[in-house]
Amino acid sequence: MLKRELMYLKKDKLLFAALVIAPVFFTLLFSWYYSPGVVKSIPTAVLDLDNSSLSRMIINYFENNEKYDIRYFPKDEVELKNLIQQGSVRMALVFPPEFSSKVKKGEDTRVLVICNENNLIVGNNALTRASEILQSLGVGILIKKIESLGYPPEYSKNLAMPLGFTARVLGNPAYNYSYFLIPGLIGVVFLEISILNMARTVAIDASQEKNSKELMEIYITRMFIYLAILIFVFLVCILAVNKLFKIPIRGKVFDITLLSAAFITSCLNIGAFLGILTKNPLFSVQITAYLSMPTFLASGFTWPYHMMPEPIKKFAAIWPLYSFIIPLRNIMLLGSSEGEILWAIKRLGLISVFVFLLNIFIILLPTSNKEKAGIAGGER
Amino acid sequence: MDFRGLFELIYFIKSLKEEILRIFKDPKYILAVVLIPALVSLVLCYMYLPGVVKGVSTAVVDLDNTSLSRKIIWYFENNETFKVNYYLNDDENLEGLIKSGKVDVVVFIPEGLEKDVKNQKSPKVLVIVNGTNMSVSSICLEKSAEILMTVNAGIAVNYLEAKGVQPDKAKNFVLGLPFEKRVWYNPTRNYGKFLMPGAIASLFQISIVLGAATSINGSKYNVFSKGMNFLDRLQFVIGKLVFHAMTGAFFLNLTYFLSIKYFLLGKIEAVKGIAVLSLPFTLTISAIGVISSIIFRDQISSTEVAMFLVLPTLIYCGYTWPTLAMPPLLSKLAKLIPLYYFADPVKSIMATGINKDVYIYNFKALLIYFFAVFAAIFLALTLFGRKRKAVVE
Repeated sequence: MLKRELMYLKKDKLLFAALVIAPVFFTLLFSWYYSPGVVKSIPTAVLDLDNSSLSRMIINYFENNEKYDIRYFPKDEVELKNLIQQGSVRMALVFPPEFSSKVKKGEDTRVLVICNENNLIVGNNALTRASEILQSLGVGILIKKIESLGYPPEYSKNLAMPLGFTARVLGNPAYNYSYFLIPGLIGVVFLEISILNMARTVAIDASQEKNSKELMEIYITRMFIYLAILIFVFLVCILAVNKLFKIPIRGKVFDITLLSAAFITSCLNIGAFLGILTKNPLFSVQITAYLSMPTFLASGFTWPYHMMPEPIKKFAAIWPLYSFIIPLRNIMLLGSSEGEILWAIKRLGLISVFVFLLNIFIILLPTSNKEKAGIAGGER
Repeated sequence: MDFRGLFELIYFIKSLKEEILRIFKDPKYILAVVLIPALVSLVLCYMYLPGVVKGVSTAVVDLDNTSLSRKIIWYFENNETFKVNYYLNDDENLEGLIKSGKVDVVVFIPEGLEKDVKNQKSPKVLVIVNGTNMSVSSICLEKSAEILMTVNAGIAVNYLEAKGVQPDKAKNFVLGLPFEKRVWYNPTRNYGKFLMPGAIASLFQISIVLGAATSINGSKYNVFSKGMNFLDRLQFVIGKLVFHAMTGAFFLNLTYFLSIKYFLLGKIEAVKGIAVLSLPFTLTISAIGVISSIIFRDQISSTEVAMFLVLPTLIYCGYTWPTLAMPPLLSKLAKLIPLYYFADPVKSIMATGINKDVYIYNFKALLIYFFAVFAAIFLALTLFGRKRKAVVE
């Protein structure tokens, strides 16, 4: 059986490409997309109705920050509004008339930071850095104001900032998007590839009305062959993103290997389940097409698990992505936490065992109950 | 229309009839092409209903235990972003608490904080954040900074008042550089409003492509048989293309309507504008599926190829990761993806309505795209004019 399966794999170049080339291709492509890591050069406009040394100093700070690209200086608010509505500008600074003199007098006035949040990634980046710049400039201005009241410089500094704030961001202090997303996207690629190929090939065999013993042998042998290939390809992908795109691996590669083996096994079993149940290669491919994006969004990887409604939490808990991509990211960015890895492997193992037993049960069901194969889209 | 005209359109009608019968005959088709994308879209809208991240598990380590430290903790307890689950009295293994997954934020207040503030030593509060999930960490840091700036301002105002500065003047005084944030299009920074317009478009482009990619090679008519001349073939192919584009557009717009009405994804007036823009989009996607169905003889290959062409395009088209942050070559390639001209514009229309210039630009781009793919279909029909055995005879 092993020999037969290996021959089959050798003959079917499309299958070989789907198992080996496709995951590497998509991993590298996604990593390339996110390789800059951070958002820079956000198109920015400045409407300076004050035109004072203070407003020019603030503009200068923004001009010298790589986050912003000040491209437009509209004459009035109408022109500025048009620029934002057309999407040419993602952020704008508006200095009201007499801004500088009012700040000095302690009168009520404000710099307006307008942000286009149509894209949250761009909007949040623009807004957060703008707040940081204005706050730090604000402290400097406050120190000068206090000094102007006749207090000594050291006293003014402590009075301006009586309570300091230090932030320590673990795992991804540079806020690099590729660190954040790539482990998850690799997980999705391997989920799709494992389920798709297993489902399609098992469905072909199941539709040929093979006897139960033969089908079981094919399923188990194929699972081990695909597992060996996919673990190897997975490790190649992880090491490639580490070496080529500098995505850190702070934990042990051995932990990643164990976790990926548990994950791929569960995906292959789910793929086999689809194939055995539908006995229709085309239909199983069609179903697989919907698995990656929605289950990625519902995996707790980006939108946190605790925010999900209960029914979706229950689904996430039994779907392999949840138990794989978050622990994988944690191993890569935080280093390994043995408890978390064991928990994830146990959970993935349970999924695999359950689906495996279910598959065997379906295979052993009397043949008369089996649906005759059909092709969706055809009229066989 | 005279009878001759009807006769001339016979393959167009046969083509449509075959697809309509397919809906009724094959429940799997309805499941894969209609029900799954619509249901999955609505479930995801439901998932994103809260819109913003709240209740992030937080631990507080208070080594000072004074009125100032309790005030800081009170701010964290009463901010909906945080949920203070742990109150600790020692600073051992704070990072371990995050690594174990119990909390995502640790607020550490050092001993002698209040005393140091009174002595103007400028002590520091440490906030440790799990940075692995940026959706969580960015909002936690932003809110922590806001809380500590508020506390800071309060302390500074008290100082100035103690030095005889008038309360109103003291408040303006401590602002240093006053600024106001004004957020356009998505003022609450709602994740659902950000992601779902594109996610729905992405799901329906999969459904359209799945239907169209099996339409020609799965047909009982052999489009390359001698019985069909070139115009018959063209009619037949157009029938399939139009059917999948129109059914896709119908269910896509129905899903947008439901998501706007029940999940408040945008303004209900947006539906009309989206419906018109969806026509060239679905025609383009259907044409991509159809050409795959012409080129590949078996349905699985045509489905897989079409599927992998459209499946990752939500990432490639700059919908989440912006084109301005992509490597230059990929940023240019993003503009060759139909979803680029549909997903982001739909999100804008839902948020603010139609901007005429932008709308016309995207509509034209999608039409050009459609005619380009249709020209490729025309070419494929000419090139593959040899006798070809149909999959289903």
